[in-house]
Amino acid sequence: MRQRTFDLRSFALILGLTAFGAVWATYNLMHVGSIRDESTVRPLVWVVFATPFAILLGWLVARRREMGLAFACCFSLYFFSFFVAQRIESLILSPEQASAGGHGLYFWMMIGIHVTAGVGLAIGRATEVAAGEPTAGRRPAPTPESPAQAGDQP
Amino acid sequence: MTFPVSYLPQRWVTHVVLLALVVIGANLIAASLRAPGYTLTIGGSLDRSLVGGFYASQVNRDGPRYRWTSDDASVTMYGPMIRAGALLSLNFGWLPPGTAAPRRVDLQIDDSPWTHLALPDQPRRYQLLLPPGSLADGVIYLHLRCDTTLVPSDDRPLGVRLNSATLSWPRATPPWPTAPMLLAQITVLLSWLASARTIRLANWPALIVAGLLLGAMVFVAAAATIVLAQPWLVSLAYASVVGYGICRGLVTLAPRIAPTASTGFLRVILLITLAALALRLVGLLYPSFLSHDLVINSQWFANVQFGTLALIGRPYEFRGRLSVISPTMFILAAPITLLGSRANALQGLYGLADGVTPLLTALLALRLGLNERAALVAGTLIAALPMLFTALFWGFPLQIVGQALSLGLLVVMADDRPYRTPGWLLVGLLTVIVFLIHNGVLLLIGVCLGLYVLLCFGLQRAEGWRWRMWGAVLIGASLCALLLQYFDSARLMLAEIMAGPAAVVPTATAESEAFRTSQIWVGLHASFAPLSVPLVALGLVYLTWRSHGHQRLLSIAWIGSALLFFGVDLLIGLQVRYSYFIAPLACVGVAALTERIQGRLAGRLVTLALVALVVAVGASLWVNGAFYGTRPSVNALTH
Repeated sequence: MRQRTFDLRSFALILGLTAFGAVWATYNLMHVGSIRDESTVRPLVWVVFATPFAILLGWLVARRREMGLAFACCFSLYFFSFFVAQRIESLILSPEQASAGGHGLYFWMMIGIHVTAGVGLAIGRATEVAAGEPTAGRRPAPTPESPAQAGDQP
Repeated sequence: MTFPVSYLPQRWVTHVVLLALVVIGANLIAASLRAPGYTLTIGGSLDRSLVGGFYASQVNRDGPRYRWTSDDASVTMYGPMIRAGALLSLNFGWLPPGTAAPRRVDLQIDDSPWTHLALPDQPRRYQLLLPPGSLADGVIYLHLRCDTTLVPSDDRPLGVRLNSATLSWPRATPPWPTAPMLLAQITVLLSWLASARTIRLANWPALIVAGLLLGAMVFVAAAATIVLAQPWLVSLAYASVVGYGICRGLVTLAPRIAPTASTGFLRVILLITLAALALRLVGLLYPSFLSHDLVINSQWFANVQFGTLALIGRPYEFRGRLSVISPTMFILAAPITLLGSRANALQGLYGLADGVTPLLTALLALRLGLNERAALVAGTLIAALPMLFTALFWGFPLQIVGQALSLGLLVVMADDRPYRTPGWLLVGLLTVIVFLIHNGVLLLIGVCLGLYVLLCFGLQRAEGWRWRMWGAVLIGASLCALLLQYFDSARLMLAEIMAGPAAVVPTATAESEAFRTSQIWVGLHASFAPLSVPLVALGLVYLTWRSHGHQRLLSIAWIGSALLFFGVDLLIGLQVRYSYFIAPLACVGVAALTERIQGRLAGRLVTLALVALVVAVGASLWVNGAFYGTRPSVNALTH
């Protein structure tokens, strides 16, 4: 049996770190502008990596027991967002236009996808509370009234 | 069984401080034993990671190597921390023909102007006293700026010719090791001790002995190659921490993957895996080691980092046909460049992936019905198989990582149990990544998975979930890979084919075809050396005969996929490295043959000799390739 409650702490942690990651990614993207040389490699890596990594940190702080799920989701977000952003860019711009602009649209799309997914994950995890499961990663001692269940495992 | 995961004692601070003192003392002893200085030959085997703005290495008529500078060149020189009295000698050669002498060269240290030299048109050696404090942090970044000359028949603007640079310091001054080096050494030692503790390799006294041995190796390396010690140790420190993380992960996962395996088996196979990881990373992260294909892979990597995911090439394996290069490997490696160079990110990642192969192969052997001892033999064989080291040397990151992930998928396929929905989603994710990582890997594993599903459908009707679920994984992952990447790839390749094959593929003559066919057989024999092809074939047949149920179907599908592409190679010359793909199963097959003779002492000795032969050949091939630049034949990987 599952009860629908809102885990505010998980929501705030995941959303807060999503925002932090997105701000850091945006700062790096704005900092490099359209320059694409060796000096901009690390900032551009931060652009694509910061938000999924921040979401992962927020998720782990909020719900350490969901480590496997958190890794899988954040890795998938990081990995597939490259292809999705590139596909969207190719629908809007020709390869020459995209290249001339330093693939700016592609990088902005990445941040957009990450933020959207981060908000979705924050809401999803905050509303996904199993019966008897603590809301903030704290596990109450089993009592005769509320025994620990195998179904607690995510 | 369970492994304790706490690795440090409660008095860990005391131990770290003691370890730091031991490390500092050992470094001082090592430094006092070596000469107070060294010469870096410009253009020699060690300078590749230390110079910038120089042209390719050249050899003089009478022997010495050298490089020409461009208008702005740099040399990085590592040493001990010396406040004053260090000397820098620069050995210059002739000026470029037609240059008005003297040529002014401005020298700059650590971004601060230092002095200038007026070079005459003849070889000169300058000995300069470094400014006080310039070697206080143990490293100097020397910049050489000068005008350039264009000489006939050479389109390079040439500055000056540098033959060597020598850094020396007074013997009386205590040469303190640098903080990054000390920190790196302590991190390396702690990480490996912690890894050993994690797999309960031994109790603390034995660990201390092991730590001292490890420390001795580190210090000998530091003393013998001070020119490269610091960057090498820093890379090794990062790799050691990652290795420890992998060790922790494997200790948690291995008992779940092989619940019936004994503690002793898991401990030994983890030890073999860690040894394989260490052997690979020590070579791959050696600063002067650059894999053969690193330049082109780095270029593709840079393109992905700058936002270009459409990478197009004409690989030799596809006989020069147009092909889309998958960005997957570079996407996976990108975050590592936040910690280090592109070369270290690429080589470190594929070294880590390749290093886990022994564990996966041993688990596969267990799932295919071998006993634990035979599974350890299989793990050791794959850990040291020369073909794998050849791939590391030549630098095929897409295939290496693709192979490791494919092997993981095949281990999952060999499992008897159905999974719950999250498990199948993870399997699907892994399959998509495997399909995306490389065209050749996609063809081999895709055909293998397809054959497996067909065989299960035809022969394993009683367990209908298997062909249904794996069929769904195959179709879902194929669609995903097609949409994300191969749609464009197929469009480009179709356009190429429509343009006519003669446009890119040279017309084959009877002689060239005969030579190509003969090379296929040469490559096949080289692939499994020092194991012979008949032994490998016998092992594969025996393994298939002795296994049961869907594991037998998996073996048939795996062998069938490799044989299919062997036939394709014979017919049209499309190479997808089927020997490399089947190498783990080949090792399991050979290990299955040894299982029959394990009961007798003579049989165990034969097995030991076989394993020792493979380890000796593989390790010597790798050490010679990574540290001495001896290039292994690529024949083993041409097919």
